[in-house]
Amino acid sequence: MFRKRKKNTSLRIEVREVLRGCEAGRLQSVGYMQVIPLVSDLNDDRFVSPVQCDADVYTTRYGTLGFRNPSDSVMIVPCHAGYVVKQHAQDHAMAHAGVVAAAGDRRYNTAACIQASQGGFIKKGSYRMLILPHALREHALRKRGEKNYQKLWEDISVFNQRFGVTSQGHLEYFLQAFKKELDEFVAEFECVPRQIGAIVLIDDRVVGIERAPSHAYWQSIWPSLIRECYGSLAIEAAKANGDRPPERSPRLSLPVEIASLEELESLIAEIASQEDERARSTVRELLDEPLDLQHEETVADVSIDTATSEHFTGQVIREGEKIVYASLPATSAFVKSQEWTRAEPFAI
Amino acid sequence: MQNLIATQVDDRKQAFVLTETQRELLPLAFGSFLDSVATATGRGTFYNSREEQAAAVEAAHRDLFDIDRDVYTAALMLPGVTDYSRQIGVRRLLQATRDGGILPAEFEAVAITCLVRGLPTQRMLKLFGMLRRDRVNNARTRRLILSEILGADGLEFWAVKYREKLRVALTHAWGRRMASILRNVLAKSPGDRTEKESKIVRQNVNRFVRDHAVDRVEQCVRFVLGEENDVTLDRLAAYRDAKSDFDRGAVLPPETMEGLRSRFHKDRTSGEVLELTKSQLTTGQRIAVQRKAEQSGVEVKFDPARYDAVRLYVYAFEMGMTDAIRQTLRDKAEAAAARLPVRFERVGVLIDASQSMMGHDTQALRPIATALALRDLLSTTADHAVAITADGRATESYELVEPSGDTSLAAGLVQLLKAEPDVVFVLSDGYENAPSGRFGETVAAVRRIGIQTPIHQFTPVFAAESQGVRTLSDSVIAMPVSKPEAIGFGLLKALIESDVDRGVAALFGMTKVAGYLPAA
Repeated sequence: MFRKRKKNTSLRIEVREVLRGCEAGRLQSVGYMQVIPLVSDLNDDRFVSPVQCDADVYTTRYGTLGFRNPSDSVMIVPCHAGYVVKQHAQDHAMAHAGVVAAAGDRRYNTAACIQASQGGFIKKGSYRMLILPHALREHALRKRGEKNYQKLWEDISVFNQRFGVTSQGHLEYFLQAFKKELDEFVAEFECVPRQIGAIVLIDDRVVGIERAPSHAYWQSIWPSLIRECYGSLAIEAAKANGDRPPERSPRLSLPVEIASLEELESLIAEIASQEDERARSTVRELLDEPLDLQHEETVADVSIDTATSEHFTGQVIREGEKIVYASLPATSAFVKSQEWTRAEPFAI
Repeated sequence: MQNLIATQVDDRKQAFVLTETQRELLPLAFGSFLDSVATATGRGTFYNSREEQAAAVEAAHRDLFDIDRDVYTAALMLPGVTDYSRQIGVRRLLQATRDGGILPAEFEAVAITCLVRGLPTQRMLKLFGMLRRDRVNNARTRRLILSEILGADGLEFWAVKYREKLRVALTHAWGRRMASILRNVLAKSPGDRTEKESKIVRQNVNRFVRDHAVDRVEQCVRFVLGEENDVTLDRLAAYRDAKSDFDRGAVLPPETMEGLRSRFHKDRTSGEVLELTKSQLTTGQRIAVQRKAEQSGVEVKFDPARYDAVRLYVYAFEMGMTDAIRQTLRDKAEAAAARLPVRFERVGVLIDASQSMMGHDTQALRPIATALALRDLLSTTADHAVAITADGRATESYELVEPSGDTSLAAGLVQLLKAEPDVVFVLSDGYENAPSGRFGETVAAVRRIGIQTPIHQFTPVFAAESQGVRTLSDSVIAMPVSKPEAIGFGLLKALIESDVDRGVAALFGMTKVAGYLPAA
């Protein structure tokens, strides 16, 4: 499947390669958001996240974000990891993923400031990690090579305006304005045993595929993914529905006329099985999509590729042929346009 | 089930009078308050940060306090209120000057003393620290701090264990200048003090101390204020001497000796400290240090009977279930069930054993431990009980259930109802996701079928975002419970919602403050 490649060469794979070794777990659904857990017996504990190893994070100049990996394992900095700190310091986020060798220290001068008109550098320390909101990730990835700390300010301003937040270039105002809603997303979805990834849907549309090297890694980054990255999209869906809170009823409802507990029991099982099948078919739809990998760099024997397809754009980290990490948010065009094949509503 | 409350209500004519506004506002505020005080611990949960929890708890306290401070005070005295809730309740009572209330003023003074004495020492001192932080320093507060510290039998032990916290509390009560004066005056023997100095000691120290304990307390105060020379009390002298002689630390609390070891005896190990001081371990420490003791090869005995069922379950999760623990859990469940004036023929218990029942790192396993302790109690109240997890697995009483996975309770509910129980109890944090809303929909379907079996939800987790406990269904009342003994909370909440006057009377009855009601 994979061949040895030189730097800046590209390779085409299919989404099924990213999901290799995974199975779809039971769909979790709350309000506008649905999550299909990806479970697997492949569990590679040689890689850690900045959250797992309590990495020191800092900035040395505007646009330069540093990471010190105190662990004996290779640290994978998730694609578009960011830090909003309670300091007189400019908040920063990565424009791509990163890899820091065991006990290593690495600075990325391609990082972006996400807090315009704030001076100061982030002191070395352990902070809560976020993943940039979904709508900003495509912009960040496109500008991943630019050494310009202001590169996301305009995008953040447009993003804020969409939510009625007026502050220009300040992501923290969005986070503040929607703190309660974002926190609830973390509360609603639970990690399941052996989970190493997820396919995230908003309003039945696929908005991202995420995969981590291990269950522990996944548990450590999931709150950041569900909160800022995909939570922001669910808030947008609520806004599109006139700020109407999503109904607490399931998407596939029980029929009104039920005669007995036995019938009720079989209907619950039947609907669960339909939902399960719908989750599987959603994954199936994705499998054949071609994914172009553009090699970015190789560090500590793992390579970072930028992945683009008709519907997704993100990054993949591989060790040889084995994909250990993938973050593939759907493109904004796809999010807006897709009309995903949906299962027929249950009826008897 | 309301008989549980009714049996505790004083049937005398109630002399307190609630205004119409109070009647209107109390049910909502009281419900939210009970949810908070039964479950809030001041720590983060699986779902909410510490700050979110604190803000929601403060709001719940403020709302009830503003309606009536005596109802608020009585509610703080309910069995099962968390220590954290009592701390912030006492702080609020001390902070606000008394103005109104439906009971006589002396009730509040006695209640505050009761509440403070009910706190474990470290939490009492933490409360005093909160009072200092919030600059609460009126005469009531100063008197409370000084009488509780200086009048305590265990002051010598506290002095070596909580030296800094005591110094902070006493300095807050006396003021820095007076603390400094006292340190100098107490350095003199009573015979060498001037009349003025003796008066200062009498007014600030001795009037809070029983006569025979004056010398002991004066030494402790000197020690707390930083003077170690010439102390003769055994523990105080041991603290001073253990800096040079490790073995003298045998009478010190382990954490105190551990502090001295890390500073003055770096060649000694923590295991040696544990071996040296194991006779000084408190009840709580004996169970908490089991893992460390096992690793260090030190045998620390503890008596399971001295711990509540929730603590024993947390212990069993960490160290493994044993026959002794199982037997103690059985004894406790049977004793608690015997105190409940309700019995059932058939009970169904549905346990949410999803990942979120693990709880936050700072209170790991507490939600599932509470659920399992409740399972045992509820099962014991019935002649025939069926307890299952959400995925339909039967669980035996006094056995562990590891939390993992998503939350889907609907199928489990139907499975239980098929066994035709008198009542179903759902033990869950209220977060459902596979999918959200299915449980509520299922309850509605069950009712449409014509099955009216009561379904109750008991929730061991406070949810900041819903300002109380989180309900699985609009038609099922969620009742907060942090330990089996607090099972009456939910019933009291239901009573106040249906009849405020009777509910408040029940509250005063349950908290044994009925004696403060004027005679009929």
